[in-house]
Parts: sequence; structure tokens; C-alpha cells
Amino acid sequence: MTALASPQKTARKGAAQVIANIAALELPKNQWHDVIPSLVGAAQGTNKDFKIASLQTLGYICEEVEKSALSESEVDLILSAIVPNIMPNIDVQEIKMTAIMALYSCIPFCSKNFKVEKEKELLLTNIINCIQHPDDEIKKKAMQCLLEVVRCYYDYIGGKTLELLGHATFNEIKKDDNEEVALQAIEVWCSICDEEIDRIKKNNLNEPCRNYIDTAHSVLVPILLDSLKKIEVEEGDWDVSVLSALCLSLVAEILKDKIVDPVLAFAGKNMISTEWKDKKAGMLAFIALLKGPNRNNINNLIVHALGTFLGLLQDPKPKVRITAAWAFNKIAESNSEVMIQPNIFPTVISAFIASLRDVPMVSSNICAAIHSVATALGPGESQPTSLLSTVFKELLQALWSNAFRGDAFSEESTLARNSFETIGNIIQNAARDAIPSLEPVFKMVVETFASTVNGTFIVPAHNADFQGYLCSVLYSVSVKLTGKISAKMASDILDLIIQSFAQRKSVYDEGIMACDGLLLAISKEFKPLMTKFGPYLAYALGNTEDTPLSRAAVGFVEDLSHEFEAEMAPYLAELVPLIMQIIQNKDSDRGVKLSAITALGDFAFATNKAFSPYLPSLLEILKGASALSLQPPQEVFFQLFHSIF
Amino acid sequence: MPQYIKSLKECVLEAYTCIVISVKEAGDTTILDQYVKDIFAYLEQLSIQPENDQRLLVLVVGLIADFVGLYGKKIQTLLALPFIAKLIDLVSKSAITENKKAARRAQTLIEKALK
Repeated sequence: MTALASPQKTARKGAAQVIANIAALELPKNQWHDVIPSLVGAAQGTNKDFKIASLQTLGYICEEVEKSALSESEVDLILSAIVPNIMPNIDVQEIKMTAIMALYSCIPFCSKNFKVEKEKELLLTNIINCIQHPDDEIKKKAMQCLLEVVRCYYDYIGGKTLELLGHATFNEIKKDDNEEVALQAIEVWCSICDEEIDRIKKNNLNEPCRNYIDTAHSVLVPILLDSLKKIEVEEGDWDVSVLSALCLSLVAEILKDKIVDPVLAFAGKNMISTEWKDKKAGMLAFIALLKGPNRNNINNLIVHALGTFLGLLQDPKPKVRITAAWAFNKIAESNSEVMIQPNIFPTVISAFIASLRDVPMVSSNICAAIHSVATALGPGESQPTSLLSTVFKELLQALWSNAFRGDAFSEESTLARNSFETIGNIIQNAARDAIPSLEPVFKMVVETFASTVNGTFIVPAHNADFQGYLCSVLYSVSVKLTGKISAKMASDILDLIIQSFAQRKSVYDEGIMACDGLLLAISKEFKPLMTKFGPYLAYALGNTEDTPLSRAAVGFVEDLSHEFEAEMAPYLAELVPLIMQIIQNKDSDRGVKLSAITALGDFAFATNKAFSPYLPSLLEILKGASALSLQPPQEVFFQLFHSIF
Repeated sequence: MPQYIKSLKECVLEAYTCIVISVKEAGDTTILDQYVKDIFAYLEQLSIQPENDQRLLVLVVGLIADFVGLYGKKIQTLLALPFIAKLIDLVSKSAITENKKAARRAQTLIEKALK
């Protein structure tokens, strides 16, 4: 404790941390409770350095200890040290900053204080005063305190408190001088929205939604709409406009049709403006409505706005086109039924194909939109035809070219991956009449993959990435071409994949998936190939630290048992121990463990008597798993770290 | 976490189903015999947990039917447990035809076994 009064700042800080660490050990054992009054006494003294160090220590203690370690009277004592040091009369910035930081750590302990109106008012008034402080760091920390209050004490921020909170946050959002504080102010409302959405879903009478968003919306919504125009940063980064859009979408989720009119009026007016920031803001506003209002209503609005969005997709300004592409991505994700209407689909997909050639961020978003539309139209194998069939070849061609364009390879660009993922999804959702088009695609994929293995690929620096993408596509195509791939062809492709494993000195998950596709395509004819593939499968199964690889390998053996059926028996001796190892390894991904259990069940089903030697072990595993599955979620969560599941 | 627990239960039930069918094909219940009582205790627990949806309960009913197909009268005592009748009644009232079929199949097999 003496070290807290040291003239050396580093010594004081070090002492503060040590004291907090000791307090974290002692206080829960009901020991060393006199540390709190000692620190409070020092914080109330006149020695500036000692005061600051003591406040800092109190803050660290609150960070380290569990809530149950401090009594209400101790929390009151701590607040009696902190609050006077954040009042307006404190003009030493360092003291105020340290005190507000300590308050931030202390807030979770203050539940009694926030239930008493006068104490709550005192705390909030002083926090809000700090928000208005000229020093940016103090403002930021004070706003973080407000956010913490909202997170911890949702039930106690109604009435006058909500007004105070609104006033403090709305002012900061409207100002242009401190983006970080404005972001946190919006975050306060996002936090309230999150809590209300959660409570509405749970519909628990003991934790009702208190409708703060409804109460505040007439002021909040116009402020958020105005903030949509505060576009500062590069695409993809957080700024006030992006967070305001997120907050608006949360408000829409809660208030539904209630905010459609003002938001739509804003969107309609701004999307047709000549200013690019207005156009972007208008689109952000429109998209914020997607998850809120009545679905039929919003779909009708989308149909009416489609022409405007398509126009914005051709805007001369790239930032506008990027936002339009993003908007289509969002619409396709949540309201794909609009895009797949027969009278709308051709126009939209044609615009998408054209926009694939745009800058990477437009193209990436369009890939994602196409991906969602394809999913909405699928699954295809049960359908003789679909809307996708009309543009199947053209889409694949456009996406394939997209994947290999010069700027698809940059470090920032995920365009190549997005293009291939979309190709894979389109193939998976292809209707029966599109399947003949897949044979040339299959050939093209295999040839390109071969070029990555034999060194003739056009972008050697990205060989590994492209091998992975091509393998994923190979999987999708092979599955669709079941019965149309010869055993010889499958063997040649397997040789290429094995060569790529050797070149990379590792087995990769997409390679295993591609082999899985070949297995599904040629079924029992894969048996002779197991000799050369077996060691790589065994390696993949044994590599429990690599979750995607493990998952792909377990997926392969599940399919193996379905395809080989009783002929699976000779492989049990090697595969069952490897699968058991995955289940028994505490570090294996728990989702992969579930698949591993399923695989063992499949083995039993396929091989009957041949599985008998392994049956006792499987039954014991299931006994443990069933006992765990009956525990309450918190207990399951705890046991996951200690049991094999 | 709730989704994981649901998946864990489904995985366990599906594995038990595979085992029962496999044991039936193999024609030897020796290894499985000692686990049957515990498995039915587990199924009873699943049937009374309020968070378990129809899909899970149908898996339980299906597994019970498979056990009846394997053991027949040998598990009469277990089949007479009250939870089974309640569960089958609940599943038979499902709006989904497949679920009703599963309940009917189980009911028929149990009635035969209890005669």
C-alpha cells in the first residue's frame, strides 16, 4: 500500500495492479476487507498522486473481483471516493479521468444504487457532465459508462432517466466534432434495442420489454436518419452512418410498421438526389426496414423501389454502385421471394451479370446476391426446370471469368472466393435440365485444377487458394454428375488431388471434400481407390486440431458407409479407432464430435454383425452423451470443458 | 448452447436407432441387453422435457418402435411405462402426416407385444 504513494508513476501503477490481484484472491474468502476503506481514505485525501493511484486501484479491484466479493456498503464506500472526483468542480484532468475509468469498472456492482432514484440521478448526472467535458478522452470514457449503465440496468432507465439519457446521447450524435463519442452514443441505443428484441422474443413476464424505443422513437428516428449522411470512411469500415443504419434496422425490428412512413419518405427523397451521400443514405434507410415491417408490405415496397435500385447500380459514382450492390445483397438475403418472381427475375439477373464486371466491392456483393437467389430457387434436383436454368450457362461463364480477373487476386479482395462459392451454390441448386451443361464445366474445373498441380496455372502465387476453391466446385459438380463420371476419370482426378497434397506437404479440407464428391459420383467403384486415398483419409481423421479438415474427413466416412453399405466392413478396423479418437479428444470441435458419433451409428447400420466388437464402446459413449444432454445448458457448457463432449 | 444440446440429443437418438436396426440384422442382442433399461430411462426423460420439439419426440417414438421390433414381448415391462402411451398420444395428434404414421406404427407394434 505504501508503494501507492511512491513518487514514481510506474511504481504506483504496479502497486495498484498487485493490490488488485491480491484483493481478487482475498476478498472472496472474506479477507482483507480493510483494503477498501484504506483506498477510499487515500482517494479522498489531498495528495494528488496517492489519490490517483488509489482511485486506479479501486478500479482494478472492481475489474478483478466477482460481484459477490463486495458488499453493498463497500460499493457505497467506493462510490463515495469516485463520484466526488468526477464532479464539475474537479479541474485536474488526470484525477477526473482516473475516477471515470474506475466508475466504469464499478458500474456492474452498483445494482442497489441504480434502484434508488436519488442515487441513480446523482450517478447519471455526473456521468452526463463528463460527457460534456471538453477533454475527448473523458467524454469517451463517460459515454462508455453510460453504455455500461444501459447494459447492466435496463429495467431502471425509464422515465426521467430515459429523458436524461436521450438528451445526452442525441446531442453527441448530432454533433460532428467527435466521431468516437457519437458512435458510442448510437451504441447506447443499439444496446437498448438488443435488450428489447431479446425480451420480446423471450416474452417472459418477469423480464418485460419496457418500450423505451417506442417512447424515444419520435426523436431517435429522425436523428438516426440525419446521421445516415455522415459518411466519412472507406467502404466496409464503421462510421456514424453505418452504425446509425444498424441502429435503425434494430428499431425497425422492434417497431415494425410504425416507422415505415418517415423512413420511406427519407429514402424516397434521398435515393433520387443528385448528391452521392444522399443516395447512399437513402439506400441505407430503405434497407434498414427489411427485417421490421409486415413482410408483404416490405416486399411491395421493394418491388416499387426496384427500378430505382437498378438505376443506382449503374450510377457514375462507385460508392453509390457499391451501396446499391450491397442493398441487393441484403434484399436477396432476406426477401429473395421478390427477386425470384418470374416477371422480376430476368431483369434483375441480367443487371447482376452486367455488374459482376464492376469494381471488386460491387462484384463481391453481387456474387453474394446471386448466391442467395440461387438458394431461394433450389434445391434443384427435384425440379425438372427452374428460373436458374434460363441463365445457367451465362451465369457460370460470368462468374468463372470473374474469379480469374486481375483484381480478384489482391489481398483485400475476396472476389475469387466469393465467385467460386457462388458457382458452387448455383451448381448445387441446378434443376435437372441444367445438368447436361455441367459436363463441360466439370472438364474445365478439372483442367484448371490440373494446371495448378502441374505448374502451368496463370497465377502461381495463388495456387493453394485456387486449389481449394476448385476442389469445392469439383465436389458440387461431381455430386450432380453422379453416374456420369467414369471410375478412370475419378482415379485420374484423385491422383491430381494426392499430388497437390504432396506438393503442399499437407492434406487440406477442400481436397478431402473433392474426393467425397468423387465417392458420391461413382459409389462402390471408389473401392479400388481406397488403397491410394486411405493414408490421406487416416491423416485427416487423426488431425483433430484442424477442424475443417476433421469435419471434411468425418463427412467422407459417413458417405463411405452410405455408399459401400456392407462392403464397409473391411475398413472398420482402421476407421473406427480414428473416429473414437476424435470423440475422446477433449480438444476436438464439438460439432465434429457429433458427426463422428453419427458416423459410428452409420457404420453399425451398414455392417451389422461386423460392428459388434465396437458396439460396447459406442454404447458407453452414447450413455455419456445422453446423460450430458439432459443437463441444464449452463451445466452442459461447464462440462464441455471437462468431459469429452 | 440450446441448439448444440438439441443436436446432441438428435445425434444420440439416431445412433441408437442405427444400433437397434444393426443388432436386429446381426441377430444377437447380447451386447445391447444391458443398456436397454437405461436407454428407456433416457427416452422417458426426453419425453417430459418441455423444450423438446416434435421432431425429437418423433425420433423417440421411432426408436421405441424399433426396440419393439427387436425385442417384442421381452420388453413388455418397459413398454407398459406410462410415459410411452402419453408420448404416442401426443405425437399422434401432430399436424404432420409422417409423425402420425410414426405414432401409429409404434402403437400397433406395442399393442402386439403387450398381448
